[in-house]
Amino acid sequence: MSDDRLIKMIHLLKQRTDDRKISWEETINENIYQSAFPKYTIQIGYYPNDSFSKNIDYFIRILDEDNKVIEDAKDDDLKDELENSFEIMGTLYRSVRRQAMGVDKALDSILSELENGD
Amino acid sequence: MEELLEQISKRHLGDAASIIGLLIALIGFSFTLFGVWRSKKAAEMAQEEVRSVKQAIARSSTIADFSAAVTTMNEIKRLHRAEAWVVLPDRYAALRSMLISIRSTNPDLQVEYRTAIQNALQQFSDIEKIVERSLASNKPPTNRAKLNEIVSVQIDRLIEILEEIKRDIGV
Repeated sequence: MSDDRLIKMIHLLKQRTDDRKISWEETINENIYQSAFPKYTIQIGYYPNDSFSKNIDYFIRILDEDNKVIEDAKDDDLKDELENSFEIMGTLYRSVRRQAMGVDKALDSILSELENGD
Repeated sequence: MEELLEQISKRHLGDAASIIGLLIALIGFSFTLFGVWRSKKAAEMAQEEVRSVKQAIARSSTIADFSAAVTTMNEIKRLHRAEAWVVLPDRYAALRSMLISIRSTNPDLQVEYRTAIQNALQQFSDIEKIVERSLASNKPPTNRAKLNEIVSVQIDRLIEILEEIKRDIGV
């Protein structure tokens, strides 16, 4: 059971990430990226899952000022309120990763160099 | 004497004296009001001066705290390279205290700076957990190469903030 506000937050995070209005960075934990706010931190990532239906679980986590996890939801926990939660969380994860790794910046820069070389 | 009083009465000198008295009283009162206003202004200016001195002290203390945090982060990088896992938890704790202290003693810190502090606190909290786990299992952390990569990002950000604060106060 998840909160509607969490679902709204997931949609907004995707939108703001695509608009490059939120910055994400790598964490020490592989496949986990984070974005900080003045009082909270959001982490998005995935864990391996051994079930037959899928091999990973995407998650979103909110941590407070004391670095305590105050919300932790896997795509499965969100499926009642968020249709196609696995795909949506997967899309968000990939956007976040691209931003954190600077893929868009790299592509923009390389494209601009290539176009100027004409 | 009687003649003098009669002349005063005849020429309405008493009325003139009252009017002159009133004018003098008004002028005196204006001077008093001006004096009060000047004292108030001087007190306000003194208060403003005290406030700006306090702010300058607070800002230089913030600069010193940020510099100390950067120094500790650089020390942490050296300890990571030396794989001195046993001493690292104390350094992480010291750094976290510094960052928390900067945040709590500067409630009017810019949103951008507070975000950077929150980000660093979370990164070091996660790093600390990994190092603590590795100490408990008696094995070095598996992702050692990434440790300093993350610390360097935090150092660069704090240095940027430090330079911005210095620029703001003209240091």
